[in-house]
Amino acid sequence: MKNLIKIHCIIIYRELANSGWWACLVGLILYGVLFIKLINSSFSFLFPSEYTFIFVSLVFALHSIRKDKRTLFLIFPSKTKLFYLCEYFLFSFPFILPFLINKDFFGILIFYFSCFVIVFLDFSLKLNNIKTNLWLSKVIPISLFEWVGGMRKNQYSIIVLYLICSVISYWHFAGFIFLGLITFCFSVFYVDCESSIVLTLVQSNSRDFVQDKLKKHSLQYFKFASPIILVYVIQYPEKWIFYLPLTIVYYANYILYILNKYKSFVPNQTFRANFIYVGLTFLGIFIPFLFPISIILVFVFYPKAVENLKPYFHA
Amino acid sequence: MLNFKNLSINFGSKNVLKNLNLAIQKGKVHGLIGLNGSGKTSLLNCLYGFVMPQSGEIFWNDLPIERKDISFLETQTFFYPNLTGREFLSIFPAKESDFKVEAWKDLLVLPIDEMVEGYSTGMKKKLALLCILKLNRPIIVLDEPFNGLDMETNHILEKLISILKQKGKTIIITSHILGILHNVCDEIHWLKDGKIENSFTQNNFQNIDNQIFKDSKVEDVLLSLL
Repeated sequence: MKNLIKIHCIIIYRELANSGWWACLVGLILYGVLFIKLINSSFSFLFPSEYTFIFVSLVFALHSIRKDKRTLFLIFPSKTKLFYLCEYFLFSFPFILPFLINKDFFGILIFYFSCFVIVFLDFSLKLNNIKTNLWLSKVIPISLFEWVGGMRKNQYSIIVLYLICSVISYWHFAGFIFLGLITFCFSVFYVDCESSIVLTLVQSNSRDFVQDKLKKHSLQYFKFASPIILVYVIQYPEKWIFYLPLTIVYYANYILYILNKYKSFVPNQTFRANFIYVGLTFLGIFIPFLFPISIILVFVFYPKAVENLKPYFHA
Repeated sequence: MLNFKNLSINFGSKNVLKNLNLAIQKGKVHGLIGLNGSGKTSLLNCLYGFVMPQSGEIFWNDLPIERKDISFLETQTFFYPNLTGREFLSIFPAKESDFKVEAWKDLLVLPIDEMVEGYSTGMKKKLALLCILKLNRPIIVLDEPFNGLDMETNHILEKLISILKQKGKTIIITSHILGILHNVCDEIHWLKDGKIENSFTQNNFQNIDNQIFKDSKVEDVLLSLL
């Protein structure tokens, strides 16, 4: 077990190295700012308890979407849960550490207790095995196959988060953060690369392909997110200064997931390094002055995605 | 007519195809044979536009070839995860609306409403085959289509190729199974060291083995080893 955790640490290190020094630097800055803010409990729109709640939801989302559950079960059939706990405790520690220093130490207890509940209930593994549901392709057009496949795999975690988001929206503005979490879950839709044959079925050049992809997927994203956004527009019309920029950043994050896939597209491959950018942009939501990071990255990644796909559109 | 003219492909310093010239008649079935690494898949990738040639051109009916003329069945079939067979098939646009999915499903005994992850190698191959049939393009390229298929599906595929030929499709097949190529091909081209070493018509298919293995010392070496 120690060796596997060591291997996971090495994988994270390699992914950080692959993401480049500037991504690590930005990540470090983000973490530093978050750390200081948490020590001072100086959130303008979030209480520490809500921050804990968001971290718990993040672990829940990560646990639901992780792809190595079966492999881990085969390696440690009796210690899988212990392994999850060790990993979550270890990797969340840098983010939970500030609670030890400030007066909100109860956050650690709540967080760790929630991790226990998430790992020991582990309902995602069982529910996600029910693969006979065929309704998704009737609701979502099959041209958005990432959505159909992704929703089928992660529907329960996304539905739970969506319900929490909808319920919280009636009594607290912080529920809007959950839309960010749901958007974060969408990142796993874009880790699998299709075959080059599927890639080149409709469009004849890479620019048209990327534009068409962004257009169709954006529409689907807003179909999904608009009920939540509408609730906030109606409930808190005066707080548009918060939810308008947040909506833009969430959307930029979502676009970034798509561009990130095509920026490093290799047919038939699954990417894991994408999670570094995904994690960075998610953390960026909490730091107001780093809000534009995902918007800037969209403009950086778009030409790279178009360029990377060019060889597949020679003919 | 499908014409490859002076086609050269280099991967770094390695010349995969060297000024290759090949004329493929319309409405015929052409086999492509050669040892591993002889350039078969590179030639097909170049035809489909996945590989840019360093020099040379490919013409279809005297015009530069376009991707919309070709259906390509790759050696390694890959399907997007968490989709059913039917959903994956729906990604492929049908040229004609009367593509009879149910009839194909019954013929190929394919559990089309199950998740593709649960498919066997043969089932995946069948689904990939359905996808390219649905595209209904004039040139059909099959890269090792018989790998992993059971006897019945092999038989269906052989019949299918001959019917597609009757319908006027131009078919290019690569395979290492010479027996099946003998049955389905009108012409077989032997690719060696990036060039067409020889082309065989149905009349002299029996010479293929002799030609390819004429310099082989495998038997002598094996005898000395065992």
